[in-house]
Amino acid sequence: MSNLRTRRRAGLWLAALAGFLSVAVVFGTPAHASPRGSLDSVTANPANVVMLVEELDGATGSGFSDLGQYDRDFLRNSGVQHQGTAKSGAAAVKPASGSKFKPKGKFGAALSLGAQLLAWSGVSAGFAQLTAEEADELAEALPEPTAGAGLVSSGTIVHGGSSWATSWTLDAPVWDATDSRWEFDYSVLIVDGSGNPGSGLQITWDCGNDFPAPPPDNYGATLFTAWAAQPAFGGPKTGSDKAVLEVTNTGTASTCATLAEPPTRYQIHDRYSSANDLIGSGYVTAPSGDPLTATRTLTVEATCRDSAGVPSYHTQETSFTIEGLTTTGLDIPAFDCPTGENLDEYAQSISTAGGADYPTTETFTAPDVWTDLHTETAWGTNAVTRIEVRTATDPDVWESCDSSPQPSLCVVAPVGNPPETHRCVLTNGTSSAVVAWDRCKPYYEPAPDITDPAGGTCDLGWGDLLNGTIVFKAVSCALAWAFVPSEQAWVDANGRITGALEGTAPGVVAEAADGVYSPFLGIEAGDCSGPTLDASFVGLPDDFEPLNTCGDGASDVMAVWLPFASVVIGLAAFFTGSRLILGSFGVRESVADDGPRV
Amino acid sequence: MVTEWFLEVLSTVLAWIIGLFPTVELPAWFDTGVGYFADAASFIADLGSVLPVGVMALGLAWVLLCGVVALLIRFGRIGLSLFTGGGGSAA
Repeated sequence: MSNLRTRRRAGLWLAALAGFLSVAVVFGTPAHASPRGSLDSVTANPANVVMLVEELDGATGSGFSDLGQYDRDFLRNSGVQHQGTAKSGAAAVKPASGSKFKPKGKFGAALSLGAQLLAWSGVSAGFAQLTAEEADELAEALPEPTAGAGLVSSGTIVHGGSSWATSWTLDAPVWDATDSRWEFDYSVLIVDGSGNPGSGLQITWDCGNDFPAPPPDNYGATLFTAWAAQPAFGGPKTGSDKAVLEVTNTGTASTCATLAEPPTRYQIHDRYSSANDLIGSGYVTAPSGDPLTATRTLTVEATCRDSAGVPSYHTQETSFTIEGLTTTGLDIPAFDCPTGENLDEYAQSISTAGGADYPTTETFTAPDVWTDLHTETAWGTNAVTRIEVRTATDPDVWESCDSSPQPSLCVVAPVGNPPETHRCVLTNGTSSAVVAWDRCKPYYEPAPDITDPAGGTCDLGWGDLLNGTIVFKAVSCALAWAFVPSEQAWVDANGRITGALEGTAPGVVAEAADGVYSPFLGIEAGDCSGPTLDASFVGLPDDFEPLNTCGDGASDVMAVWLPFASVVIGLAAFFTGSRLILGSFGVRESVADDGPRV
Repeated sequence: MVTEWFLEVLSTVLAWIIGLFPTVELPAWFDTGVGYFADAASFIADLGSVLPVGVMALGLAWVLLCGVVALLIRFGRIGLSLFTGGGGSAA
């Protein structure tokens, strides 16, 4: 029996110790280090050669840099060329060599091209290490990377001790007004030391901005993925918008670069029409502060008649220059009939040609046909055309969904399973598109208030209850409504009980007990004077303090005694309380193992 | 709503049970007696010159707390013993 009690007691103490250690482990475990390395760590490793595209400037192509070993001649005249067209806002996977792909999908908010990380995988064992002579031979055999129109950068890299190599080209991004996003053509050539296509490349996103990473992809041999994001429906890009094209054979490093500003849309209006008719529009990409400077040609075909009614036919071309995106009141002397003749028939047009000193992405769309431009004309006077250039904003088909509260027609649905937290599908009643997280957020946030749902109404749509825990708002709201009592319910219940206690025996006893023990709550030791004893009747002073320990000798004794007594009393209280608890479980201390139970 | 319903039922039942007790008043001498408790507390505090009364109060509170917890555990075991044929008796 005594052994049994001893084991039970030991078991309880061991259980308590295990619980304490569990808590210590949980709260003491350091956070796992991120598996992603830094760019520095990669470039510091000679085996990790990184091709990096940064400062992706669509207008000038400047800012590209190569942080790794760079050998442009290495890949000439050999290998497999992988080409693709990446449209911003979606992932693209090249299914086969030479084919084009155009990923679909709309993303708002961030104007960024995607980060591409091609990580070397286990197939590297099959690639031979090249000697310098072999590398030279391969360089002679490989083709020059194919460059598309608007090439802004290209280069080659020899990776990881010449075990494999990459060549690449990247064309200038072109603004796609229809999809409101950047598009760019690229080509990537990946070969091993024998000139065979690289394989087993792992592609992940790691741009580090507010456009989160999709799950890592491992597509195998001849695949290349491009990601990019569009600006927020014509809105300006933010400082965090990044673009990166990065290749590495090991590690997970990445970096980001900045895109050019999105183009500005402008319109040319006919000032003399009653409604300022739109006669042309275009996009221009220009560094901030640079004005639009474009040259156009106004062509006039006119018929003049003299006083005898004899017609004469004339064609006149007049070049004019648009300067600035808000050119107003640009009068163009269009045509003047010869002296003595009056204008009979008149038509004019603005050419789409004529070039532009700047911009590079300008896509003037004035009708290249004869049009009935309004002119100030009269018999015997000159015909004058006045035009006006204005900036414009692309129409936002999702604008109606941005109002608060969101219209019921606008519904957001998660993408992927588990739901991705960087994009969603937005439906506005007539069409659907994948939009960026900034567009999704109003539907996910704020999370439904589950602490006090009383009086509130449940929103529809999806909500981010916790980080990554996406639930349908109505569900969480209903659960809160069902199981989370309102504050008023607590108040009512408390009032019901306290009201019943008033005047009844339990209440009176509780009140009396409070009066008894409350003076002892928070009792604190007095000073060294001790209690005062009035014993004047025996001749002692009326402020006699028999337990005064303020003297030198007494205070020295108390300096030892009080801590000692505190320890003894504390241990006694602890073991007494423990004994009570253990006793409630049937475990009792005994004087002797074989003695009677206490 | 479900929890609120249970909260209302429980508080109503508890209030009904409390209402079954008779209405009483504290005797007049109790008010005087409470004053003695206050004097006693003051005297105990003055004993702090020679006794660690703060630790004593804390220890006493600890023992009382453990006693209450132990009592609840015993009641719980007694309740469980009704379903276990006495195997969980707190005796």
